[in-house]
Amino acid sequence: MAFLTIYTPTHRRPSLLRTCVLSVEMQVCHDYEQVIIHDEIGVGIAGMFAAIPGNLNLIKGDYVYILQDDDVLADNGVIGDVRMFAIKNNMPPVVIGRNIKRGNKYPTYWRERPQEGHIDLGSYVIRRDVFAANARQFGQRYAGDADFIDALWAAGYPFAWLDRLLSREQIPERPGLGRPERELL
Amino acid sequence: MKVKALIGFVATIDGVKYRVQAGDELEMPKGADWLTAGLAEKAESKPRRKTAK
Repeated sequence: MAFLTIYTPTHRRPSLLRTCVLSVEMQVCHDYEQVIIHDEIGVGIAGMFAAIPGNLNLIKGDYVYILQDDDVLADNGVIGDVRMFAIKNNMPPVVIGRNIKRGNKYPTYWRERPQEGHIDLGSYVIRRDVFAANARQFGQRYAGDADFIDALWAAGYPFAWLDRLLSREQIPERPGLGRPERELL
Repeated sequence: MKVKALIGFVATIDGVKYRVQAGDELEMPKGADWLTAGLAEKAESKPRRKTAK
């Protein structure tokens, strides 16, 4: 079983997906699996969240990280560093890291309760059992990822804070917003 | 159309879930467009071997 499952939903973004996958394949630590979920019809971000509970059987890693197809892992040491951090911290339920979206570094508030608009889907890595037990907490809306992580905080799961960049967007000036690649490049 | 998967992926077509591994060659289901998605390429059809009469 892998340490990390990287869960990547994709919709009509062939070259962005290639770069995303490449950033994962370049990792020094190979203790991962990447699951690519192809969205044929363009369910959008809300649909992506709605599909997660139905795909839990595909997630086999100890932890789950959702890496969107228009994002990349920040460098080739991300998985190794997260793995080492998790082991040193007795496999915490939630690991909060940093990510860059729309030119901003998230989360805005560090070591504080997550707030909508101040944390991003790419800011957290979740232990699989916790992810599975709470998968229905993803709101079926654009900010559904904030609903999820706030629900974990409210439920009292301990958060561990890894001050490290996990991922960044590929096209900073063009937020994906579920649009196909031809509208972005 | 027969396609060859470039990477492993999961897709749901008309309620049927497909789990495809990189390198798999399979008939692409109706309604799917794995080529545009960058997930697969058209499988090359093997040229017929010439046989001596």
